[in-house]
Amino acid sequence: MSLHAFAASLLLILAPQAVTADQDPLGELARMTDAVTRLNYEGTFVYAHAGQLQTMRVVHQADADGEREHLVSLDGDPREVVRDRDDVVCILADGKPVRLDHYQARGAFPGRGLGQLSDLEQLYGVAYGPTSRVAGRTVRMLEIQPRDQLRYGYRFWLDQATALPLKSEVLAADGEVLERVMFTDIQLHAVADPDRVAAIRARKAQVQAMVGDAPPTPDARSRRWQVNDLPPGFALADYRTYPDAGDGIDHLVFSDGLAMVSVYVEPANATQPLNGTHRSGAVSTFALVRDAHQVVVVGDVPMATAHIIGVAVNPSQAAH
Amino acid sequence: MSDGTEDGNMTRRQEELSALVDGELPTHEADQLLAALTAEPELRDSWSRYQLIGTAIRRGVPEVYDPDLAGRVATAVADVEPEAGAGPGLPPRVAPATSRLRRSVSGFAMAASVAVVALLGVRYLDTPDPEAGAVQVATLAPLPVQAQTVATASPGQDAVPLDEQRLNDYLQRHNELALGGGLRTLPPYVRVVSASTTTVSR
Repeated sequence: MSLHAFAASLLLILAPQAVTADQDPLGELARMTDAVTRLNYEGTFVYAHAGQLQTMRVVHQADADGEREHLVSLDGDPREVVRDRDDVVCILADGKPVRLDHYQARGAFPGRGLGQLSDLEQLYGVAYGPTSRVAGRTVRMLEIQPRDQLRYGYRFWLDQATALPLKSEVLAADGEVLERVMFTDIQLHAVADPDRVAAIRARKAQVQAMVGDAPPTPDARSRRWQVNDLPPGFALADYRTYPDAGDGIDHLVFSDGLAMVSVYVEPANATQPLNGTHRSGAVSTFALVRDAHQVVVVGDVPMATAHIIGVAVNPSQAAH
Repeated sequence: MSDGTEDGNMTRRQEELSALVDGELPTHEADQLLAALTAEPELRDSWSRYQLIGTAIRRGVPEVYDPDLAGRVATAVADVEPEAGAGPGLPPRVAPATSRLRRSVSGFAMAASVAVVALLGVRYLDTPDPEAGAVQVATLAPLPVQAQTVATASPGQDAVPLDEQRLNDYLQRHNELALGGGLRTLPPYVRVVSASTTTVSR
């Protein structure tokens, strides 16, 4: 068999797979998540939301050892997040270094998220959009449209070669762009660069040395609260209790696979209860007082959804 | 003394900026503008000023609790379109905002005083549009009952605008979850870093 014939037959074998991949926009979401985690990249992007615009630089390195990441704001006060595998520290606008606790809860979303793409498809339509260019690279748009008005839509412009999202938007039902991330330049590297990895680890150690006590460890001892009637597609993804306040803060997390909603419940502050709504970009907040408890719902969802969840918070019937 | 063309260019850019702030710039134009922002310091300065106005909008207009919200959600559910969620295909693409109050006001651009801003601020109340009732029906059936509950629990006169400062802890913790969720968008922690400006700009 000549080399050409061999190549041709190889193409015949590979072609059907290529077609399948091409017709699987839903699977493309999984590819995107994988790309963000697995690839080595470095670039500048703008983040626009709620009438604000920020320029940031990100360095992401992934090798057999794990993920390392450095995110730095380029305008305004110096702010940064440094991540060395499961350890995350950051310096926020007040200059105070803090350690984030969420990685302790990694894997706390069993069975949710992209693992159940078929479920996702009942809530969102996923389709390919046109091809264009972002940051000098060819991208293909992936459009995710909610099938009801209880969640936002998304658009991802995925790098054709790697599925890395070089641009993304969160959209309201009326087409308003609530949040937008766009790379203005990006470099991809085939393998992790030891120098960059070392630099990130050094910076992380430096910031960590400034960090005081670790944040309170969430635990999941008792589930004192529940949401009786969740909007369709949403399910409890996580339940934590922070010991901050006297009686602690219960933190319930709900997800429909794409959108996430946090519900906080704590004893109400009698003099200054929070009551009302607040929206910033794609994040809706709804607060109410119920059974002498302060309920705050924060989520990447329309206000109506935050509202529906907030008013359905009740003491857990399973509590002993 | 400066070059008229350059001035004109800058003016056009500023108009685009104000459209961007309003979320009304078509996507491809927004992209070009955002790219330009990273390259042109002068434009960045303008943006900073717009941001200040944006902050004024958000602070100057109390985002009061809307006691009618629950009722309107209930109406939306009642008036739900029969075809909502019927087929496996994509829902019809909703046309970009065309006739919203905010759009009609946006001609004033961002030079707008806080008085105009008060009108703009209406848009910030993210209430569902009763006419666009494409909410799924069946699963939402219990809603009207809940709606009554909240209307009783939070009478309008007790409502206070939510203080962003007090919300920060909640927002922060929510943002930190970014990586735990199913969809890992890029780049993670963007909101964590971004949210902190709220604290500082106050």
